[in-house]
Amino acid sequence: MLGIGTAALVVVLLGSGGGDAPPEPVAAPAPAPAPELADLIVAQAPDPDRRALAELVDGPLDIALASARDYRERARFPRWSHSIADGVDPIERDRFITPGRSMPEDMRPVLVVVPRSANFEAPSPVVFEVRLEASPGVNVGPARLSGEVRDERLERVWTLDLRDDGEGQDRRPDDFVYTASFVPGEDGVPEMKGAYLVEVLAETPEGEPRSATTGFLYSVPLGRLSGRYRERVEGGNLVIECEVEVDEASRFHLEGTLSSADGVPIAWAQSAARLEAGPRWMPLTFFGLSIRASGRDGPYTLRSLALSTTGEMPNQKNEVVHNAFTTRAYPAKYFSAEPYDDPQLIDEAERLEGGASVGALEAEAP
Amino acid sequence: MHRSKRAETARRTALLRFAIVTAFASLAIATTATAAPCFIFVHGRQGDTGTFTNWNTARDYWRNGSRDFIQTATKNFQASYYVVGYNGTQQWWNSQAAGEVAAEILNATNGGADGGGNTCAQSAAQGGQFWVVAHSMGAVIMDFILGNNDPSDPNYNFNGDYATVASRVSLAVTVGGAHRGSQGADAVCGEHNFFCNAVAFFIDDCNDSAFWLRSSDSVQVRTYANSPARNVWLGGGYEAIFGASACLNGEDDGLVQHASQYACSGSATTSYDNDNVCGNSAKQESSGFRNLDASHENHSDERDDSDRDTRRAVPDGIWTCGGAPCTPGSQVQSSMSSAQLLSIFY
Repeated sequence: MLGIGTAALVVVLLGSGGGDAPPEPVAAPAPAPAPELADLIVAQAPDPDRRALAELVDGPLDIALASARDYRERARFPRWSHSIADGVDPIERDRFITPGRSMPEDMRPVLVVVPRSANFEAPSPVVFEVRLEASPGVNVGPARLSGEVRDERLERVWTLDLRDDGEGQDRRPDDFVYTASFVPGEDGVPEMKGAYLVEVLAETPEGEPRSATTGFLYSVPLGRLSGRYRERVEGGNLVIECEVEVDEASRFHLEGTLSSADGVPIAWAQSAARLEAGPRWMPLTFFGLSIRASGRDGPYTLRSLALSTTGEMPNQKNEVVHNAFTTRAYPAKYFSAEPYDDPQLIDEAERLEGGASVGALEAEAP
Repeated sequence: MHRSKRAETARRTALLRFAIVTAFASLAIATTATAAPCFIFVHGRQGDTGTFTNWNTARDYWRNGSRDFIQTATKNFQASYYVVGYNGTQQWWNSQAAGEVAAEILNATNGGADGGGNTCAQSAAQGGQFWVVAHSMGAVIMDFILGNNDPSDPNYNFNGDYATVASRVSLAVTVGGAHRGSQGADAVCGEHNFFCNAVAFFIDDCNDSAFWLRSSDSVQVRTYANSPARNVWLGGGYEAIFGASACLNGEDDGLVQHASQYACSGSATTSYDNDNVCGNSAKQESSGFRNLDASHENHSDERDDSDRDTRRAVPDGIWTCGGAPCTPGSQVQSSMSSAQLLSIFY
């Protein structure tokens, strides 16, 4: 249904209102009569025609107090390391690839385009798979298929050569999963770094057009993990140092997920530093409580390890290294049970709970 | 269908209880204006630089005729506020976007005035509390700032003092946030989607901001940030826009799909309804994202108070019914805008 705010939306999104005039102070508009708060809180009876509502609405949660509770819980861990309670590896979660699909999605067959990775690290080839999906798992052959890659300026940098012959990067011939790959030449690698848009066009066997978009990051990092690691326990925390071969001085970010002996992700840690060229060590400190609270004994494994060159956007990301290092067989209780008690989060919780005057102690920012 | 007498009595009791609580709450607010948080408003994507070069344009973003999100959310300006204007044509991480927003939040929390002369009632040094309200692309900018506030974060203080911003902001509320990008931007930046041309009517062109608001993982803020240092409360609209909504998966507000408005993990284009959108443990980051509810507002209504309409509960949302979370998808209000919802939170 066409929303009643559509006209306004058009005006705002397309409208002028711009100009180069400097900001002009204006007087605050005269206050209108205050709305009756009670009028806003009208619990509604169930709508029998739509959904059977057997419940009665009490009201909304107090988001300030709920936030304060969250902050007190999160204050147990430092910003640089926390436990993993849901069994989901945060690094794997961040690398999930969203497939590009033609829209509207109820128009079958659906054109699907998926990069093999959300990030390709130079000099790896860039690889895509494209299929025309009649139903999940059932692909059909398109009458026509083409595609191109555009850079951030929307200029075409590469025309896709889509193949289904089982050669090169194509995994199987004649399965209607078409593959395009591109291997940048050595000279072109540095210029290739950045974010890209991919658009694929297809014509169904019935002659209907389809288009789908996706994207990828092409990274030219300035350092890489050498494969050398060392461990120690310090202050009740587990410290795993990872050696980075730095090609050029830059800022680097390292994050890792630790799993227990039975393969369950239990803790995550990150660190960042500016490193000079040459072999350098970066520590990942897994906060003791995050290991101890899991109740799972070692040996622990660096299940996912991700290095990035930061300091510019987009960041240049190395491919994730899996099962990089396994520690000694520490029992979980070997690590500290002490909470971190992040002072900023505790201060904020107190402020939201209404009892704090911490802000009064804070200095003015420059 | 008849409700039982017992249920009716319970309903009236609940209403009365809630009315009494809110009446006391409003009385307390009226007498202690400085206890209210200061609201800092961060607008969404733009097709031109108007909101950056002319503060009045940024202020007007939140208005539609006589309706005014800021007036309503601040209870007729009883709570103080500050309106940020940044360059909404740029990438969300750009110095004129995230950098400008961070600088303006610092200014607001230092007691400085916005382009209209509005200041927060109390500065950070005076113990003020600050809530950021962000719409659409503004939500992505806040994810980037709050997710890069620590020296261990990937893009710590990238182009501003994110650390101080995060230390001063108590929480953020996003409405129609494009946390995981917008399939609307996908349609515009792909030049050959014959069925989705209607979207181009709303997003005029694939400028830098639109390019970085696509649903491709390579341009999403989660790829470049840690969990937000402060809670980000997620409100989503589910009023379709004719034509445009056909090109978004599941429920949407005409430009942003639920998977994005609710910062879901997994695919950025998963089809979600109000009753099955991702809960608080399935977000794009490990912590810091919390569901509010869903409103029958489109992408424009969400930020201009023009449509006071139905609200529905979502999984792990804020509404309670009979002492327990309301059933996801159930109607919890019949005529309440997102601006009105904000006004009952303090």
